[in-house]
Amino acid sequence: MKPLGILLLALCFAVSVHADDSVQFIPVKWSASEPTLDPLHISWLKQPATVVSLYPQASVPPATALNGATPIRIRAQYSAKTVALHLEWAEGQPAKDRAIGQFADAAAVQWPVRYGPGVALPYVGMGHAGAPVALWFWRADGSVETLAAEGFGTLAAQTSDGVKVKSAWKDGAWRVVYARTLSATGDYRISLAPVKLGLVPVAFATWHGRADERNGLKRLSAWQVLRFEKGKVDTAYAKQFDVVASVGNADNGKRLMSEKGCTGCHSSPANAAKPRIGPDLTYAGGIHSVQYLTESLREPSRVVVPGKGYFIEQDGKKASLMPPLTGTEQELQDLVAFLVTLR
Amino acid sequence: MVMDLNKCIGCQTCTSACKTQWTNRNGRDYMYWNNVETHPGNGYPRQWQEAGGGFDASGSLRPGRIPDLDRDYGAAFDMNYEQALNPRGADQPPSFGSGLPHLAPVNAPDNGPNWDEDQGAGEYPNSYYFYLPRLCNHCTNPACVAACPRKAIYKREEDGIVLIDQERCRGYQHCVAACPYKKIYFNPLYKRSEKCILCFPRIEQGLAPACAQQCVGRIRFVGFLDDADGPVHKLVEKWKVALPLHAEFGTQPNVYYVPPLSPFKYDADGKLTNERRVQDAFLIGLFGPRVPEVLKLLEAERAKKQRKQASELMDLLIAYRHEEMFKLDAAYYQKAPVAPKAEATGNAVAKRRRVIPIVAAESLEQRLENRALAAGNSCGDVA
Repeated sequence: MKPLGILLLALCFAVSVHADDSVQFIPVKWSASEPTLDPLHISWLKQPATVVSLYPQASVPPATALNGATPIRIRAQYSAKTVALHLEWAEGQPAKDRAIGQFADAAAVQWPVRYGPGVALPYVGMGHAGAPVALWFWRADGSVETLAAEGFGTLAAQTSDGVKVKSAWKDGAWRVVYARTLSATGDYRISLAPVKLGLVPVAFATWHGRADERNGLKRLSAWQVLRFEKGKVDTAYAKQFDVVASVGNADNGKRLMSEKGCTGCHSSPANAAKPRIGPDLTYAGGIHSVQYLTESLREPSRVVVPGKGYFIEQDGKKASLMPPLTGTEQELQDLVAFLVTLR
Repeated sequence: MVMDLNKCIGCQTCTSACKTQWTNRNGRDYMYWNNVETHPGNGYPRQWQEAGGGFDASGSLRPGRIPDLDRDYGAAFDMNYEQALNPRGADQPPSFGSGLPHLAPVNAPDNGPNWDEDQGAGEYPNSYYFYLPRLCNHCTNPACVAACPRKAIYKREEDGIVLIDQERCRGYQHCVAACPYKKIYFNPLYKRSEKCILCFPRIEQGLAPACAQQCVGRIRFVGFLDDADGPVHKLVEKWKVALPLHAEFGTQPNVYYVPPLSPFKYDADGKLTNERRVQDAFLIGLFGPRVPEVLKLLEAERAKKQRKQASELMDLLIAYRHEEMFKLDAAYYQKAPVAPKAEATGNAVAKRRRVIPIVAAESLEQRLENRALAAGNSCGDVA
């Protein structure tokens, strides 16, 4: 049996799709002096940036226009006291004011409140019940907020954790620096201790005010991982973020989408019917890890996306309308391989 | 609430009562939680009936648009105070005379709330219009509640008043777009949405909302729909003469209107015909298919009254005593327990409802009388 298994696996690899850019390490450069808040400072601009893809939010209505991925450039620095993130993305004309029917540009940094060896990541869209996220929210009208959420619709303002933000719009791009002390006390905060744990998950989102984007109308990234330059990198922990190459056959997975009934509820570019009973999968591969996609096929109710009509309440708990996948392990892998291509 | 459109004289006292009570300050200046508009007409905000929102036949939210401050709400005009009052500069004494600029809007205004007031339709001498006072309908199936991704809008269990939790609102304005009556307003100062609160601090004391209390035409009835002794129940359920506005929007409004009987048309010889100036079809467009039967009943009951026969319906609508138009119950609010509702994400904001204690048990009439006495009762009569 064993040689046959290996052969099968090898065959699969030949046509598999690798989810090779869903998780990447973003270097956080050590700086003996305090990182500057000035987004146009040479110390930021000369630092190489990591390009991360942002995808239109399509999982729950109201959904963003499905007009493709856009890049955001991330730079990061830290000192003995402070961590600073520099976000840069194109914006032809800035929208700075909020008024009646008028929305301002905005950007957010999302952290898992709990992270580390053995801790599963929260759902990338605002976390999920029991797995909260902490957020730094900047808006072009000058407001900065410390927020927390554990799922769509649960966003709640927190007392400020001390995050400071400076922004500048110049030559068709927003550049925004977020800085805060490494450690923080209190509930629903991100606390960083690179000496102990040098890898920290983080995600990003932007809102384009001129397109009336606010709340769920936004663009978001998949979970990324910050790698602190002098931080401790535990090999076992690092493996947690290893990109798991999908070993399935995407073409077969595409076929299975209708065979297994997925297309009855989920919209995707390959599904002409555009149903709205479950989350739209147009960018499922862009925002979700292979691990998450696999898990949500196996155990749909473990993380329930709280869109209207997506779930039922059972004993006070949300249960997904989606039944767990019935099929072989190979079919599961094939479906994941297809989902990974959706980006 | 029930409003008898046969009695509305368009005096805007309700509008003023609401505005002075709630919306004359702090970013609310442009808002009219209560307004009175002329129909046929564009209404306020302009062309709200065509602005979308509400639900479609399948029960899904229909897309709606957010009105524009200048074009639709008709924001206040900027006046040339500096130029007109100090034409020689702020440090010079004012001067007057021909050739100097006079006080006027900086830009020629082309819209305002009630821009088309009293315009109506029809050719003289058969021109016609009627007034339509509007406030939040405190719907049974509110589109604003359905549209809010924050669950910041809620409908109170004890009386159905729809309120926006200002601590949860983040100013996304989905509710503004979703309300088919355009009765939710974004506060540009506080960056949150606001709306008619049905004067709940007054309601909880057993007092009618300010718009109803101040109504000089006595057109507004206030009470619980399920209170069989109340005027609202009698007009909506018993006599079935009060109809919701645009029921087809699917939100199940709780403000009802007694449709208006309009004057008869003149023929070419200047003789009165028996054809009403406002077409039934127009009223059906607003209040639904039952309009003709309601108008017939009103005519019949009116005729009875003219023949000096008894008519419970006419007596109700005439409203001999203003206080009988309101049947509220302060004691109900003292008893109604409201369980605090915990919320997600730690910093639970328990939903506590503020019940304002009744300071004095005296009736409103008694209070007004006392106030008149305190004022020396000197109105009109000089000793």
